[in-house]
Amino acid sequence: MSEKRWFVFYLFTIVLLGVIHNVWLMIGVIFLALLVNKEVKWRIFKKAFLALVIFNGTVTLSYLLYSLFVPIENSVLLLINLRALAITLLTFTLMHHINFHKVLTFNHTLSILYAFTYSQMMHLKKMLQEYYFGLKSRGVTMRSSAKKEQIKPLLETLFGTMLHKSNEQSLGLRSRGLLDD
Amino acid sequence: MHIPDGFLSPQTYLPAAVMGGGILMLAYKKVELDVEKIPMLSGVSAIAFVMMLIIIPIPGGTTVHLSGIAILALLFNPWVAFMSISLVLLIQALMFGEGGVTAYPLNMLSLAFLGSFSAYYGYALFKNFSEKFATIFAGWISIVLPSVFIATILGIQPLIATSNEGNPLFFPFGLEVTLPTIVLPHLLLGIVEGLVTFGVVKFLQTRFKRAFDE
Repeated sequence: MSEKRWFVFYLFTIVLLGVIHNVWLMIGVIFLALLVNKEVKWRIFKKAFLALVIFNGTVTLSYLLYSLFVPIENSVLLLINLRALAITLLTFTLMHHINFHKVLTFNHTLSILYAFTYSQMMHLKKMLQEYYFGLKSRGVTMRSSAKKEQIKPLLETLFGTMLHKSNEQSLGLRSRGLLDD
Repeated sequence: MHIPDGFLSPQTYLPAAVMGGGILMLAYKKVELDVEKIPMLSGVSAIAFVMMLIIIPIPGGTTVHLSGIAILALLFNPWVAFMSISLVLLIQALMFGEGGVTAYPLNMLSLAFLGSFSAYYGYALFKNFSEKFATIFAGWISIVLPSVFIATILGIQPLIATSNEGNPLFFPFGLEVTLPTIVLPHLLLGIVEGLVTFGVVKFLQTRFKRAFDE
């Protein structure tokens, strides 16, 4: 099946998970996603579970605390969390197995924009990580380095790199004739 | 401020997807992307992504973080900022699980659309009074207005999606919980966002003047 068809199938499945309110269906989808992912299943599961804990965890905790004072149906909480885990797992599974860039090929500009943005994001993220490790190796914490005289050059480097890469990419596009002037 | 997966009902995200898709198409028509603009747009999107990296989850069903939306809206224009933030939100949802895929249309409408346009027009409203105040206000409103919208959308979930027994099927807390827990932290974070917006916009316009003059 082509990338676009897989993506449409995925969208249809996540809408279906929102319409059917059954805990066993969610568990079934989670197991299916684990099966499909074979050797990378635990890496993808860990990533999805971490996202669930970070983004849904506070609501789950506050709902549990709330249930100490007011009698509420805790199965609701289970359904919400299993649904969130199932959808996140499906998302990461899809992203692992398909090239999302190909899904966007229906629009030439959008697919190029996506590829450039993703590469710039990863580049800046790596730069920041290296900056952080550099600070750490010198025994400097992020908090103590959050001063105007340190933030300014960092900002200048980040933005300067971004502009430099933008110019480089513009030249690359022109020379390959991917986009017309 | 991203809403994760599992909190919104299809009754909410399906109409939002239609609306968000329509506005996005309009944006692509309005902003004529040429060979120069595409790499620049991807670059500023990456900067916004970096600003959104540090997140703190809050009990109201969302997270607090800086956004950089106002910076983009003021340096470029609200349509460019909207397109850029929409793309960042999509990549965050698909690759990192930050903000749900089902919640993407609403995250796009609130953060990217409301955030960008409120910043731009908020700045325009006060720029004759004081440039500095207008920039800080742009940053503040770009965070606060989307937070009110998100709190309202989450808060109405128990009203529109319940089981036959009356139990909520999606986000379980009502407006009495979401409005104070989401909006109040953002009222304070908005001040930080406003100050960061002012500092970064001033710095970039001074040090990279040529890039914005082109």
